Amino acid sequence: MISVARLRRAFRRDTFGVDVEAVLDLVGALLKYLGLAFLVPAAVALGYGESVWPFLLSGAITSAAGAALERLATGKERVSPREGFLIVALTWLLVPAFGSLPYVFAGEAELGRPINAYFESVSGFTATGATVLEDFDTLTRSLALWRQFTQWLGGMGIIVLAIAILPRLRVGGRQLLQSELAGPTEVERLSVSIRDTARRLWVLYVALTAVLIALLALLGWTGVEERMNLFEAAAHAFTTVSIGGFSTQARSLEAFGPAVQWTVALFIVLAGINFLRLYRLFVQRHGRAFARDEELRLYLLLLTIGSAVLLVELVGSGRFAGEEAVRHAVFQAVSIMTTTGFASTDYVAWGPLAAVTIVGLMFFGASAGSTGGSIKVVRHLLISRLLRRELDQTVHPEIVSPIRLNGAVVEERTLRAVLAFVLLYVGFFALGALALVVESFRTTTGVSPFEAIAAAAATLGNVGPAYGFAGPMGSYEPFSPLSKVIMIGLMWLGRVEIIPVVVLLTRAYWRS
Amino acid sequence: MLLAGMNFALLFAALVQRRTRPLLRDQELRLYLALLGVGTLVLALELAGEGLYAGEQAIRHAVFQTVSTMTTTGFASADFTTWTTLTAVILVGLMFIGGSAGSTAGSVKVVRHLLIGKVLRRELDQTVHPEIVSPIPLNGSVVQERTLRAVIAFVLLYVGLFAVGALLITLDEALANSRVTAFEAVAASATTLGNVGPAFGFAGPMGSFEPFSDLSKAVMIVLMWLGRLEIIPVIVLFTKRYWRT
Repeated sequence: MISVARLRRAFRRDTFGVDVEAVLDLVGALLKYLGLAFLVPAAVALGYGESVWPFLLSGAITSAAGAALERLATGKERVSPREGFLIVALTWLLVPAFGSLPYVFAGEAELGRPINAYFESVSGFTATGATVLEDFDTLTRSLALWRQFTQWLGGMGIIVLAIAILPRLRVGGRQLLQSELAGPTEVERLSVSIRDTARRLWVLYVALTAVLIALLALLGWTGVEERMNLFEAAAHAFTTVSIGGFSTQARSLEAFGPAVQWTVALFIVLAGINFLRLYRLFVQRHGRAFARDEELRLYLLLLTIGSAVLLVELVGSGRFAGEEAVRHAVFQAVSIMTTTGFASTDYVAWGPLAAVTIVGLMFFGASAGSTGGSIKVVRHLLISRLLRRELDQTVHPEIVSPIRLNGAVVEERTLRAVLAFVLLYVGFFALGALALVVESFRTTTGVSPFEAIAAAAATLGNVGPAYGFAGPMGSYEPFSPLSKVIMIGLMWLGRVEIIPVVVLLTRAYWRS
Repeated sequence: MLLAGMNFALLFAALVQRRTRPLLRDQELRLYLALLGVGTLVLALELAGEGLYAGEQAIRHAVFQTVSTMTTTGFASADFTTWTTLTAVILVGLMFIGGSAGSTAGSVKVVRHLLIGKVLRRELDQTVHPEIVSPIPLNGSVVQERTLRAVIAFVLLYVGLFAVGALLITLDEALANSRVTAFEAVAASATTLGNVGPAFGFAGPMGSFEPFSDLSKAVMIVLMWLGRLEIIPVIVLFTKRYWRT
C-alpha cells in the first residue's frame, strides 16, 4: 500500500499543474456506467441463443475497473478546463479499450486479435466506420449489434463533447455553435449546465434513432425491402444517426434497395445538422431562424455541389443512368462529406474525378454540434471570411472589420483557434499519410500513394472507408499492425478535434 | 541550387560585404538546411534499402532530387517516377516546402513554415493559459501580428488553390477520357502551383506535359501564374474593394 500512497501523492496538484487525480476519478465514474451498456448486446445474445458471457464479463470488468479507479482517486465535483483536456483525451482512449473486450472474449476469428479488436472499437466509439472485418458471415448477431451499438454510444459522447465540453476548452468555440440564432433567453436555457444540455439533446438523438428504426422496419414489414427486419433496422439506424457508418452487411448499403438508401441518406443529412439547431426546430419550433442559419445553407450547398460533380462523373463515364446515377451520386456525396462512410455501391471502381472529389469531401465534414467529424462546415465558412478580410486589408490596410456569423461578431480569439485547428488538421493529415506510406512500404503491403492519402483522410476525418483494399466493400485488415496503430491515433486525434491531445504534449500544460 | 535557394539579401551580405554572421545565424537558413538534410536522408535510405542504387550513386541521386524538388528547381539526375511509393510521396511533399524567402524559388517557402510552427506553438500555450500574450520572434526581432495573419492567409489560400487545381485537372481528364490517375493530378497541381516543373506519370522529369488536354494546360498556366505571384496579388484583383475608388 506504500506504493499506492506514493503514487497518489505524485498525482496531486503540487507535482503537476494538472489535477490528475480528479481526472482519473471522473474517467472512473464514466467507466462504471459504461459497464451497463454491455447489457444491450447481452440481451440480443439471449434472444438469438448466443453466448452472453463475453458481454457480461466485459461489463463486469469495465464497471469494476471504473469503480476501482474512482476509489483510488478522490476527486472533486468541479474540475477546471485544464483538466478537461486530459479527461477528453483519456476517455476516448480508455472507453474503446474496454469496448473491445467482447471481441476478444468471444474469440472472433478476425476481431479477436487485440490490435484488431482495439482498432474496431476505436473506429466504433469515434463513429468512424473503418473496419478490419473481412468475413461478415461468421459474425454472431450479438457481436454484430455491439459493433453498431458502439457507434451509437460514441455518438452520445460526441454530442456532449462537441456541444458542452470542447467549447469550454476553447477548441470548438462556443460562438460557432450558438451565435445569435435564438433569443438570448433560449441560449441561456439551453446551456444551463453540461448535464442539462446533454439530456435535452440526447432525447432528440434517441427520438431521431427511433423514427429511423420505425421507418426502416416499416419498409421491411410492407415488403418494399425484403432484407430489412427489426434487427437490421436498429443496427443501421444506430450507425446513421451517429454518423458512424458500420454496417452488418459486407456490401454496406448496397445490400438494400433504393427505398432504404434514400431514407438513410435523408437521415444522414438531418444528423449532420447542428443538434442545437435541430432541437430549436423540432422542440422549440424556430423554423425561421433554422432556415436562415449560414452554416446550414453552406452545408446544403456543399452537399449539392458534391452530388453534382459525382453525377457528372457517373453519367459522363456511362456507369449509371437516370435515377440510379442520381441516387449513387447523392448517397456517396452525403455519406462521405458528413463523414458517415456508408456506400450504396463500390465507388473505388469510379474514375479519378470521383476519387479526388470523394477524398476532397472528406475534408469538409458535417455541421459543428453534430456527430460528424472532420473540419466541419462552419470552420470553412469562417476561414473563407477571414481570407476575404485579409484580401480587403491588403488593398486598404486601414480597414478594421469584424467577422460576423449569423449577424453576431465572432471573437478574434475564436478565429485564431479555428485557424490553428485547420493548420494542425492539414499537418496531421500529411504526417499520417506519410507514416502510412513508410510503414506499408516497409511491410510491402502494397499501398499506392493515393490510397495512403485517402486512408489518412478517412481516419483523421472519422469517415471510415478509403480507397484500394480499404474501400467501402473492403477492409483495413491488410494494413500492418503499426499502420493500424497510426490510424487508431488519427481517429482519436480527429475525434477529439486534435487540440486536446496536442496540448498535452506542451510543457506549459503540465507545469504548475 | 542549394545556394540559389538561400535568401539573396543574406547571401549578398555574406559574399560581397563579408558579413557572414547574419547568414549563419539565420533561423530560416537553419531550417532550410535541416529540411534538405532530412529529405536527403530518407531518400538515400530508401534508394539504398530498396537496392535501386548503391554507394555514391544512391547519395548523389537522393541529394540531387531533394535539393532540386524542394527548392522548386525541377532538374532530375534520374527518372524518379520509376522509384518507390515512399519516394513519390516525399517528393510531392517537398514541393510544398520551397526555398528561402528572397530567393528565386517558388512554393510556400521555408520562413512561412517556420512562422506557422511558432504561431501554432503559441496558440497551444494560449489554450492552456489564456492570459498569456507573447510576441513571436524571428532572428531576435518581433514579427508583427499583421504579417503573421498574412502568412496564414497565404498558406491557406495555397492549400485551397492546390486542391481546386487538382480537382479541375481530374475533372477535365474525366471529360476528355485520358489516363491521368488521381495521384498524378495531385502531383501536377502541386508542381505547377509550386513552380517546380516535373510531376509524375507522363509528366515526369523525363516526360512532357503535352498529353494533357488544352483545358488542363490552361488550368496549370493559371496555377503557375498564381504560385509565382504568391497568390494574394492576383486574388486581390477579384475583390470589389480593389477596383472601387
